[in-house]
Amino acid sequence: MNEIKTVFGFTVRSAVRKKPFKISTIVLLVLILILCALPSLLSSDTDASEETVAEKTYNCYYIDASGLIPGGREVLEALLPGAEIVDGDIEKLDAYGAECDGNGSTLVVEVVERDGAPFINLYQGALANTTGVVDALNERYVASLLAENGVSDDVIALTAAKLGSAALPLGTMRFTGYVAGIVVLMLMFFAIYFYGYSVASSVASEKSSRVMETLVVSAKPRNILAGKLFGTAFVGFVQLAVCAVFAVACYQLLVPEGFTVAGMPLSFETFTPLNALLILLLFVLGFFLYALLYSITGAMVSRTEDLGAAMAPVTIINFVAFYSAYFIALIGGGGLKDTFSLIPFTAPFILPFRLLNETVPWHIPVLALLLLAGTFAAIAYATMKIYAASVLYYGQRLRLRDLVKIKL
Amino acid sequence: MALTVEHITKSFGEKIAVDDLSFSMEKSGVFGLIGTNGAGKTTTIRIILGIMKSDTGCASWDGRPITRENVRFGYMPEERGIYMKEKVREQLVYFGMLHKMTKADASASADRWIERLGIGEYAGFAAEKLSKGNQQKVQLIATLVHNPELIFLDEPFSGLDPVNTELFRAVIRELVEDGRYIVMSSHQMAIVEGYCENLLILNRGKTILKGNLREIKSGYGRTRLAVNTSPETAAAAEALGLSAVETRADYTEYKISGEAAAEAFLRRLLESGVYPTRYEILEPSLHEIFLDCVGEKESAK
Repeated sequence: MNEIKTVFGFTVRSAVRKKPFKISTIVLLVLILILCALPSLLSSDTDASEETVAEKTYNCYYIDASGLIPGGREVLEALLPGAEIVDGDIEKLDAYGAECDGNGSTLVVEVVERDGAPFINLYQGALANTTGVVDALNERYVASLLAENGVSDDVIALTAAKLGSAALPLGTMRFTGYVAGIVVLMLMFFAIYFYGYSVASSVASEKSSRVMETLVVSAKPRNILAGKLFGTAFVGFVQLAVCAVFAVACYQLLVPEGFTVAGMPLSFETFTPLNALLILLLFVLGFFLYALLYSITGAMVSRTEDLGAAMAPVTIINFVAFYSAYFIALIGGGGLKDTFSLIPFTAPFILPFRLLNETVPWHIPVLALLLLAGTFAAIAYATMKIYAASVLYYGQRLRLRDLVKIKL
Repeated sequence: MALTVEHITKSFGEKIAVDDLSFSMEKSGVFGLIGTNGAGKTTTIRIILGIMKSDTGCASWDGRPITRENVRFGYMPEERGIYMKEKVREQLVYFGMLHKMTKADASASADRWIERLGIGEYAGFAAEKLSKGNQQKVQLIATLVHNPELIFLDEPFSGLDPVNTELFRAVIRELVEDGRYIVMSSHQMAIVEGYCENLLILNRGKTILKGNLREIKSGYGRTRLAVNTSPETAAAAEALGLSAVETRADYTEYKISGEAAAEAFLRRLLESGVYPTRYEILEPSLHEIFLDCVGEKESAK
């Protein structure tokens, strides 16, 4: 136990001093700060645009030679505050095109008659904003028809009024839960890749620099590996915990109250204590499962240059698990999602997302955790044996068939 | 206390790395493990230390298996193994603590050795900033920091300048005086010869010579004659058919068949009125014995 503690302490001290740790922590904190500040920045930007008089930055040429839509020009003036509405001439279309090549925003709205009704041709630059133009002109045309047919102004105003609406949640999936599920999925992937690589690289560099020879006469190889894994995991979890605490603080301080996305309020109701515990267990077990596999890859090589090739099989499993979970999150996955939720290599990716976004039958996370823990124990046992047998092997990279021959 | 190695054999596939190797160290001192590259020295040390399993045979310390629990041992690998990015003192304390020392004891021991080997000014530096010789000192401290009773030094002098070689020699002498058991492998025969009472010569995994160095040399007989270099001595040697093994500015060594040949040579010089300022009948050097043993085996193949 003392050996594990000693290696643990040395690994932690060594890891937190390294530049990648410092840089990645700062980058994560800055990203969190930006994400949380974004809603405030966006809303203050919107407020500012409402208060100031819009500057006219481009021309909108309106052509309605037959006067098919009475008041059409006024409609555009109200709809496009950034545009100078100019009476246009279709003969000058080439000149308008040349102007558009300069700014990309020029817009030409031509109203012609087709089948006895107005028809609108929109000539627009690549950056032109035409949102609502046709609807607004259509509305004005209908209003003018109704007025011609003796309908009162009140009734005309009622026909133009928009119906009130509200976006309300249906089912258990929430925008916040969805985003949080994707974030946990990504964190899992990056934690496994980043810290798994760190473990593999640390083992490989100890081997290639021959420090391993000094280490293995000082402590049992399994204790060295355990201390290294726990140390690396501790650093990773502390980094994530710091980021999580910072994210909560930023959310409380920076995200405006009542902030909605697509009309849906942010809600953390699926973050129940039980779900949080299950996600933590899945995260920790999943992390260690992959870290063990990565440590074998480090022990298989004699030179750090060979590490990439040795890590490839584990990285492929990691990628496949991540993308399986990601696509299941995007498209549902049907019956596949239960299968993937039980496979030890994919469960840590898909189950946290499901727990945050749907009602998962209780036996799924229980079974998944049991299978994950069992697989972890079996792989931990094999890893310790393989590690002890291969850390002092120098020469060609050990292949999978060589590992199989090692007596467990 | 005694180190006993009995009938160790280790193969890697078809290749036999160590073949039925046995030796023992009954008292403290330095035991020499001599051999060419790939002779099996490092494999032997790894098997004795228990970091590699042998196919057959075993090693014991005072009748008990050599484990971290049974004996405090230190190992200085041939290729240096220290953390290049870590600070010197910190990693030495770490290595000490891995050997079950408390942090305070490991720190005190590391400081003592750092001072003894004269690298105090680099204690707070990352090892990569030190010269090769100083890195080697760090490696030696990592081997000794936990005060081991059984010490394995694999090529401890390779790459050292004369000043540091002398420092290492002095440290090893102190360790021997302090009653430590040291197994040392080296290519530098003159150094081994200066320390080892007992030795074993390995070639391609096989033991080709082992025993007490003095007895081995006696067995070879006194086959070298050193005489001061001069035209007269050279003429006398030529007349008697003696061949020069090594000619230096101040003396020349001749190969002789025995002491009778040396006497005949001296008589001839005196009869010619030549009085040698140096006349010494020598035993063969370890270097010669090694070349003789390995050469015989190689030519037999």
